[in-house]
Amino acid sequence: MLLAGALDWGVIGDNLFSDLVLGGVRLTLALTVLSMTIGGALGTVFGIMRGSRIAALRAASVGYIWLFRGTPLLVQIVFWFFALPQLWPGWAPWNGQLSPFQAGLVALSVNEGAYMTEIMRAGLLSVDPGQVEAAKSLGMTGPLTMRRIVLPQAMRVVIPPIGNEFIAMLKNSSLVSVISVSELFLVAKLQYSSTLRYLEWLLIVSIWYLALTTVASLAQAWLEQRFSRGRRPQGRSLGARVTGALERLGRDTGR
Amino acid sequence: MSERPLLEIVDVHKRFGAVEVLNGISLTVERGEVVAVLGPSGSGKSTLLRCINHLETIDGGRIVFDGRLVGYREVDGRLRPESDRRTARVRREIGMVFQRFNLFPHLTALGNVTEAPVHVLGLSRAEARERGSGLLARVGLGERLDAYPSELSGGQQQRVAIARALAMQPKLMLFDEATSALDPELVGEVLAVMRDLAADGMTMLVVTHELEFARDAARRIAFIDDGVIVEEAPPAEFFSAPRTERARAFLGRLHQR
Ligand SMILES: Nc1ncnc2c1ncn2[C@@H]1O[C@H](COP(=O)(O)OP(=O)(O)OP(=O)(O)O)[C@@H](O)[C@H]1O
Ligand SMILES: [Mg+2]
Repeated sequence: MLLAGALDWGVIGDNLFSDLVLGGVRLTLALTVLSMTIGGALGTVFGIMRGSRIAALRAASVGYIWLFRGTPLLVQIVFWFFALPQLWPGWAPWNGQLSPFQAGLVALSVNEGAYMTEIMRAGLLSVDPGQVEAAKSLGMTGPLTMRRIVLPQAMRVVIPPIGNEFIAMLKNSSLVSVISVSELFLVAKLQYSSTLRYLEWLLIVSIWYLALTTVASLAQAWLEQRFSRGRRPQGRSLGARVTGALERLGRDTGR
Repeated sequence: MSERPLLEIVDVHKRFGAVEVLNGISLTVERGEVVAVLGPSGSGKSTLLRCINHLETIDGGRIVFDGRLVGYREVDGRLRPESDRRTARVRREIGMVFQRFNLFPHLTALGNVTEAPVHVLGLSRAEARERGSGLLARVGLGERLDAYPSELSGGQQQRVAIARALAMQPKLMLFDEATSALDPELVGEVLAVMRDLAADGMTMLVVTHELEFARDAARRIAFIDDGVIVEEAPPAEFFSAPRTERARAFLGRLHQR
């Protein structure tokens, strides 16, 4: 029998660094880092397409955002794992079925890519067209100009929102628990379901999520500092950026 | 081939929507020549320069640089748009200096100057650094190699921009009101660099409102109004005895100020 209000700190102490929990942390981190990387690459490609002179590329980019931002991430996760194999049996190169982790990663990446497309688009638009003209006048081709001149300057603008996306992803990755990827939240869920120690297990995962998001905020502040190189005014100190990043933590929303 | 003028602009037309901005401009620039382009605001001076290195497309006529069409290739007597790569190849040899500098803010002065030599010409970093620091020294910024554009004055930024263009070892330099965005006390340092270049034999096409510079440094004045070249003459002639009414009116307005 559990006594009401009796929080057992022992459960937390015993499990905070248990192999089970650490395994969940590792999966959560892997999902976040990989999906942000793939999503970032997708967002860069579709963001550039969004500003293309070719109408079909622009349309593809708009359609991508429309579809993946307009449907719930949860629906997309279930779609990639259960529905797509039903629709198209053999679609995946690996014996027809993605593992839960793979399907979750695809779902998170493709969904993230839609948000990243918007962010990259805004970043690219923030770069003065005079920069492209200067690069062209030096004999730089379009792709070289994009890589060496436009993208590095867009970075300054996109790092704060990408940091927010990263933090949101640390938390949103828990949605793949529905296709039984044993990331941090699913580990806790299985435990509280069998032990009924809800409070303890929710505290365990919350401590971990807070630790991860805090570290991510600090990294974001550092990156913002780095990419503002050469910009005047030198702007906010690192301290102010850290505070700002921590404030944003409280504000950003899930999907 | 080297007898041929470096730049031949033949009957070039340019429209923005319904507005005809260049109305059949023809202009020839010989190797080593400095030509100053004067004209009232909105007459099409910037547009002309931007057409020369194909930052703008043209709607008629042709621009031939060093024997090659810029931005187009001729197919069965008609001009077709040229590929990005080939246009970029021609642009390497045409330096451009902008009114608003357009330095790359994320790179240092030296980074600005070495970027294109490394990534376009394929110079090694060491070669590019040597060339770049030499050029920055030449424009008087040998001590500021590691400064970011935001840490430099307008005059210094424009000198970096000139060095950046020179680092490609262009055959032609285009200047679009290179001193117009500068505080008056900074104009001189930039003009000095431009005079030095001219004296060194660089071929230059200079859009400017600095009449003194045009008189001393240019071999020829091309006066533009309403998208056509109204008058072309050596500076002495143009300033003392302009042939056309429009040039007289233009000079009259400037002297009243
Ligand atoms: N991208 C554009 N779209 C539409 N109209 C343009 C564009 N660029 C220039 N124009 C118009 O073309 C005309 C010529 O402009 P241009 O900038 O070449 O003049 P300018 O002689 O350089 O003038 P200024 O001395 O003020 O720099 C102007 O009427 C201008 O409004
Ligand atoms: Mg102009």
